[in-house]
Amino acid sequence: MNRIVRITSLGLFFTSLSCSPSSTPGDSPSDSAQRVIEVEARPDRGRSEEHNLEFEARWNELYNTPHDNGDTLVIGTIGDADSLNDLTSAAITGSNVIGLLFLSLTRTNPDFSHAPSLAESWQFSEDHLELTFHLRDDVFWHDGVKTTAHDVKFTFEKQISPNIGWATIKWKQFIKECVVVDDYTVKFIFERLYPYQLMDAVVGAVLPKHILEKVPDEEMVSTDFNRNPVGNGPYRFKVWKAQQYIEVEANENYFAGRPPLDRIIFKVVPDQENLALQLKSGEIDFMDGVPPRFFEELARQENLVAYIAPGRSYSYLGWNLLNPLFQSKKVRQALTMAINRQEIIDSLLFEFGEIPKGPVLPIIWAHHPNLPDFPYDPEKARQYLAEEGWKDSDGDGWLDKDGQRFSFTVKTNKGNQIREDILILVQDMFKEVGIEVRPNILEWTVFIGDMDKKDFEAAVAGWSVGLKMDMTTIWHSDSINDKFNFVSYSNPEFDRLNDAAIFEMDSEKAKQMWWRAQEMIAEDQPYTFLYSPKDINFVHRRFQNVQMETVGWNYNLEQWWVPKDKQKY
Amino acid sequence: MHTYIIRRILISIPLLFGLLTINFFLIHAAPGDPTDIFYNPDMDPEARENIRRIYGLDQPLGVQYLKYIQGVVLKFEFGYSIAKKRPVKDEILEALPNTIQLSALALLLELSLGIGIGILAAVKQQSTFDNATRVTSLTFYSMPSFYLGLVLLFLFAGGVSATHWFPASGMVDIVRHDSMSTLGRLGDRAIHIFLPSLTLGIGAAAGISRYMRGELLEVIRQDYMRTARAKGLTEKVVVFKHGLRNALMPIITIMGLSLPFLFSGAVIVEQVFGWPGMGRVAVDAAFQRDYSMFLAVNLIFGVMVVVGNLVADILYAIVDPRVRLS
Repeated sequence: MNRIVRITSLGLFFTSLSCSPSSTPGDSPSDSAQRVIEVEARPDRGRSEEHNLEFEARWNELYNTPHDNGDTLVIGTIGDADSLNDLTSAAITGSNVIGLLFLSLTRTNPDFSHAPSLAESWQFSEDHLELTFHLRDDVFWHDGVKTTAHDVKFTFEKQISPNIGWATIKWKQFIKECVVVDDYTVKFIFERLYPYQLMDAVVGAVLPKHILEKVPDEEMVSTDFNRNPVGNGPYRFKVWKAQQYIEVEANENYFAGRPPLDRIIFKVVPDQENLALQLKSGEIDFMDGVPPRFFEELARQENLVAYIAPGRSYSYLGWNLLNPLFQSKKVRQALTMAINRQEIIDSLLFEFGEIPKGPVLPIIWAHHPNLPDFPYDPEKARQYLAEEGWKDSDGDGWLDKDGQRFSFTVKTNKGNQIREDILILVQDMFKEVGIEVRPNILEWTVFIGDMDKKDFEAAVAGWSVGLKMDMTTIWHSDSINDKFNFVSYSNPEFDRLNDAAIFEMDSEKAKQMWWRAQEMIAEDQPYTFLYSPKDINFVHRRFQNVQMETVGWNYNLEQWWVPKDKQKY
Repeated sequence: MHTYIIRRILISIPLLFGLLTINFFLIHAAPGDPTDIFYNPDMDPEARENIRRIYGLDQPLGVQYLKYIQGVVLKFEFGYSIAKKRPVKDEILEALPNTIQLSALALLLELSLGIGIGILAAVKQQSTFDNATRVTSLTFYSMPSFYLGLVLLFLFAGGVSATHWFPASGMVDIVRHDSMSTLGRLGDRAIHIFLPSLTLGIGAAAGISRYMRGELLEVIRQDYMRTARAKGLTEKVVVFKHGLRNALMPIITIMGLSLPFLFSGAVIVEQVFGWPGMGRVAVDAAFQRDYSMFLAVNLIFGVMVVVGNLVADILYAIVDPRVRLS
């Protein structure tokens, strides 16, 4: 997690949600196959409450087709996990392992809709305020005890306990109660109607009541279960050596049948250079989030296959709107036009990225495809700035107004080479139009501390995008003080639209509202949206049935397999 | 001598206590706090407050300090790591042996290479060997260990496929280790520890070899050496029995003082080679503001310094009969 949270940015939690696997057979690379595969972006149906039979059929195909068992997959990861208990885990590595060890009520389909998992089926009541799940009766915890509705209710109660500190407690805020109907039927009762009720109800791994009920809430953060988890998923926990590796092994009693790979090992590796080295030499079999600078060399390796997935995150240059320099919309638009974003993508991302025009990326259903844009045009930028009174009146090469030079500091965090390089490029680009920029690279905790205190003029940072359409925490004026609206964007019209759209049940109407909201942000340019990087993954070619999807590289991890004659371990 | 050792240990207690106190306030004064690792837009400020409360971070600093000291002194408890979700003690007990293993081997390399080369260079003063080792040892001595580590990684751990002889990270082959024979396991460990310990030891070995050469040359010129030769002793006995023993004394001091440097060097080398030791724990703890972990790690480094100095003094007394510890 260190890597992702510190580098890609804030908030990778979203990804962890989608981490429970699901399916799609077909295009796994065989001997002859292509070695660079573009992952297809699917239409987002995250609000859907229907089953997607096509994806479910694809998921079940593995169990109906002959395949070999055996072999080991070694996954390289930079940060060690912190806990394998969903209630206390914050690191991304942890959530990837948890996705193999534990089941949630549903799995996420490639189109973000829901597929059966622990729950075989579900339905809403007439008034849509009660959601009933019918559980499978053949799921066992790895210690042999059956998984029942009591575990689901118990998990919900722990998730909302203030004395445990579950990181995504907010997702359960509109759930009033969880009721056990019988051993295999459980009902969630909602306080209000909104489009993501199903998604909120199923978020989080279901945990074993018979083990954790003995742990007082305050001791959950330090309980032994965090390091010795007992799950009910396709893989069972074997061993965890701190800073070295976590190993899980096939669960022979998994309800859907034994998963093909004998073992999956998450190996902790010090840094990205070392990871790339080990991928090349075969010490690890898989790596996600490969930095674009390694792409060419790794793509030359005969035994590796690359998967390029659409971006789930974007980086931006945020303008502190409390600062007088940036209070004019026209100035902000000019600043965006002064930046050659395509050059940033070409030179730093080796073309593995796109320019986002707004905060909602194309993978989300509410994405607005035709937002106002401010493409690179230094001439027009200068003209806009001149109209706002910024001219070089003393002939020193820098713009000034009322005797004050147009000059500011851009902050970013250490440890992300691309961001550090951006500061240098941007400094040059701004110099072109007569604006002086001073880069300031800070340690992560110091950087976010400054952002919180609004102690910055401009900053380069990034967001990863959640599956749930909601712009409140980053853009709403209520989020200026204690949440993530660092730039202090305040637009009453936007607030009103956002608040209404969140609860709008009619998709078409909601979409119109979200489009309007995005237009406002694109027009106001509180951020200059820099780039949305593609996600590069490399996997050893011996693995079959690898289906990477935008929901996550590990969408069907539990179904990967290796033909007997190619098995390595 | 026993009273001397006991007195030294007693003196070090307030020293370590002071270290703990200073570190406590320093790390709390650093910007940010341990809940920053939960920084993401999905996390309500409320959930973050919950976590702060669970770990007692919402209490006044003085109260936190007293509670912490109370735990350490009365119960030998070092608290819980927020970033690792386990008692600090558990994480350290897992990492410390790995660092000791790495440092011990590096020390062995440092001494054997350093002393060996130093003796040869002194005995064959002005020879090609002397000149060659002078240049190489200066090169290694001035090369930062992270750089040397990266070069070795590139050359011998996969960067150049023709010379891919060593693994790039870790302590063992995590897939195959458990199914190996005893001998195989030993070999597996050896190839994993080789590059990191070499990286850690070679710079210091270069330093030692220069000291060794200088001291031995100094001693060789002494009158008692001439006497020994005049008695008709062989050159071997002269150099190794009469010369070496005297020349080694300063080396022992240097070695004792270099122990803490060995551990701090391990911090860097462990990062480069992904060695699961105290160095990685220390760096993570500092960046994540994992207070309890940070304090415990620094306390251990403090103990290392104290012990290193003590050991040097004791060894000095053993080697040099003129020194009396009292």
